[in-house]
Amino acid sequence: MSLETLLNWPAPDRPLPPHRAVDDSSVRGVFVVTDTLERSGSFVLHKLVGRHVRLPGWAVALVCVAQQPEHYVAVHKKLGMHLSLHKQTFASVDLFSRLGQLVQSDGATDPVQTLFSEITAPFAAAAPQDAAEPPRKPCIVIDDVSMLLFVGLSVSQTVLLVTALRSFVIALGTQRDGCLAVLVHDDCPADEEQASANAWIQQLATVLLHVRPLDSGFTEGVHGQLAVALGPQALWADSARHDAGIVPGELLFRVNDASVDWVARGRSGL
Amino acid sequence: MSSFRRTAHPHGRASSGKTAQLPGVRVSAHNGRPLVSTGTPALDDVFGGGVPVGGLLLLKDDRLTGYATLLLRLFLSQGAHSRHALSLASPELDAKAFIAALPLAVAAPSSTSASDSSSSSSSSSSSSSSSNVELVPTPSGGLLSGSSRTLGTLRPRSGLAATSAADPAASPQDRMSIAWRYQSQPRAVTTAAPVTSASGEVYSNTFDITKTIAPETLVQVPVAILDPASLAAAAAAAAAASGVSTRGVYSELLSSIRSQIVEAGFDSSNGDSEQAATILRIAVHSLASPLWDAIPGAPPPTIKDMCLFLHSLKALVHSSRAVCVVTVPAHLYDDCYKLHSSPLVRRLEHIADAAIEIESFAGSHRPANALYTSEYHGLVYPHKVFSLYSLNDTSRLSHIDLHSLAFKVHRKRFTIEPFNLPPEDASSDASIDASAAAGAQPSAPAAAASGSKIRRQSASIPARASGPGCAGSNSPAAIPLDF
Repeated sequence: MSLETLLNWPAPDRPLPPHRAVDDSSVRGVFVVTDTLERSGSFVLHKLVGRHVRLPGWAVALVCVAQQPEHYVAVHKKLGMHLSLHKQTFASVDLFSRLGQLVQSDGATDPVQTLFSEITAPFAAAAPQDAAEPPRKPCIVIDDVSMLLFVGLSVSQTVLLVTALRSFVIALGTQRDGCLAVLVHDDCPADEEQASANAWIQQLATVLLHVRPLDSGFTEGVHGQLAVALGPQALWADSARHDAGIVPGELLFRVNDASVDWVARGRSGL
Repeated sequence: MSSFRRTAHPHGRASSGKTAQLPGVRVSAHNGRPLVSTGTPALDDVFGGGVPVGGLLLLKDDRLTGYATLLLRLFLSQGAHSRHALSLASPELDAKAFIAALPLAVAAPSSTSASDSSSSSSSSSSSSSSSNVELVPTPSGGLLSGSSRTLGTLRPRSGLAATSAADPAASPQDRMSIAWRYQSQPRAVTTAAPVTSASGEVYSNTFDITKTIAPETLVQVPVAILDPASLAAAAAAAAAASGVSTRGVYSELLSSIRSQIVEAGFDSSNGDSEQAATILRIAVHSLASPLWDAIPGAPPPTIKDMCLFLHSLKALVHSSRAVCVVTVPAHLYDDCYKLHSSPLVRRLEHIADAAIEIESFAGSHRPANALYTSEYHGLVYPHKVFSLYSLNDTSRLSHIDLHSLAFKVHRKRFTIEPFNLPPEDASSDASIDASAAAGAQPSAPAAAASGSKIRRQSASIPARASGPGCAGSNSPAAIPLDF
């Protein structure tokens, strides 16, 4: 049992179903990862980035809000992936170093519009030269959305930005069936702004991934638990076109230096 | 000659290698990043060896007491002894006096006896280091007096009393023996000996908190001080020059820190510019304190202003040869029982690279068991640990140890160690231990008494209602830990 199993990501021991030629388990997916201060869920984002960079026909934009891009490069290097070698399919959007300029509105510019343009710019630049070539499926990963709320955006602006990005990656009627993955912090009920924004964002989710410390307390060898649940938008998914096969469930995990170990609840290992 | 050349990158390994050659810096075995010491060895262990250069640490102040400020002083004092540049921004402290009163670093304890060291120590502050160490009483008694640790004494776990265990000249009674099955456990370090880096430079000193740093040490260190008055003057001058309205205090503070970093050559984002040959330690005291709101004509800061300041400061520090410690009076934003708290503090914790809360027993709302208040002065909560350039946390401690830390201020030393529950039969062993220690170590009564303090105190503690359901208990050890 692993996260890949629950999300139905093909692997050598989980080949594609007979009626499917390509891996489209992420198509039209909105992954909302919630985490807490004690247990960060950023490793799930690293998993999503690594998977979609390797998938043929996809282009990934990693929006760096919480850390500088060099952090993600270093982490993926430990995970065995040199992001600099995937310049055709990967781009990092550095909002971290100039977030203050971007979110502060001077009246003339709309911060939501500015952020949207910044985040989607890599896909415009990576448009295929050949018109016959199908466009790459966009995958936008944002680490993290809560930071935008903290430093200046309102709840409505934050939700509007996420909604616009979702519409960008899941453009109905086109071949641009991508996915969006966002990280939000969900550990402070007293923070009404954050709770409100989280509720709105989770309404947009097809898959919810809740990263938490262990309910039973701290222990050796296990760092936390991850619950996979279907989001509200999974109810409206077009089953003929999008059969993700996601299995709701819960896993325990241990984050190592260069990998993540998954442990089924009640067992000492896989 | 090889045609391969290492490409210089402001945040890459080449830059890390140059930074690692600076004084008071060593390389993390975890991710190869340069680290600097916090001035508290156990806190360094919590962070995997120290604060990574470019990291920002948030310290949540304790209520009514000043232990978090003491940690800030140790951080700055370690910087002064490592010849790092210092920058202190504080709304309430007399910053110059604060810098002048930084604790003094003491040297490694020598192999001479305690009495020898003591007799030669009291003349000058700079030459009194070893005696200061020898005079420090520890709960286990193993560090200074050589009194043997007996079963049941509250003690630092495994390697915490490593000084006596590692000293080959120590007597067998001095060495702490632990069961073989615990010897592989991660060790926290609270040793009195300074930790040196591979280059032989002192990386982490031990400090005597009762003595102040030598003025000749401070003279060699560039120190910049920012306070609301200076910021107000700068804001007024900028407003007069540009004709725009006065900026908020946090914008001014960020601008001043940025100017310091750029002008002194600590900015590493531009690899071509000449860089300073040291590290800048930035200390922001009492962020979000109402005392910062002192610029006339400026709008009062909001929660988002403070969060934006911290995020911008983090981005600034990440791209420079600097480390930053920010303290926050979190207790000002909680109600008495922590039933409702302002979202500000939690947001700041999320923004920071690492966050630690200090809770002192003396200032806490919650009642604490007397058995533990007699041995420790408070608890340390590492809510978030550095994970820069790493997939996982860089802490050297196990998760259990990491979330069971307590601190204690000895007579002259501040230590953090994993919290240990006392054994239930501690009181029954108290008299035996005290008499044995007194008989074995007649020349060190203070340390022997310290070693058995927990038992004697536990025996004398009357049963008290420290929490629900424990009023009728006669055994002090049976009182639940109610904090």
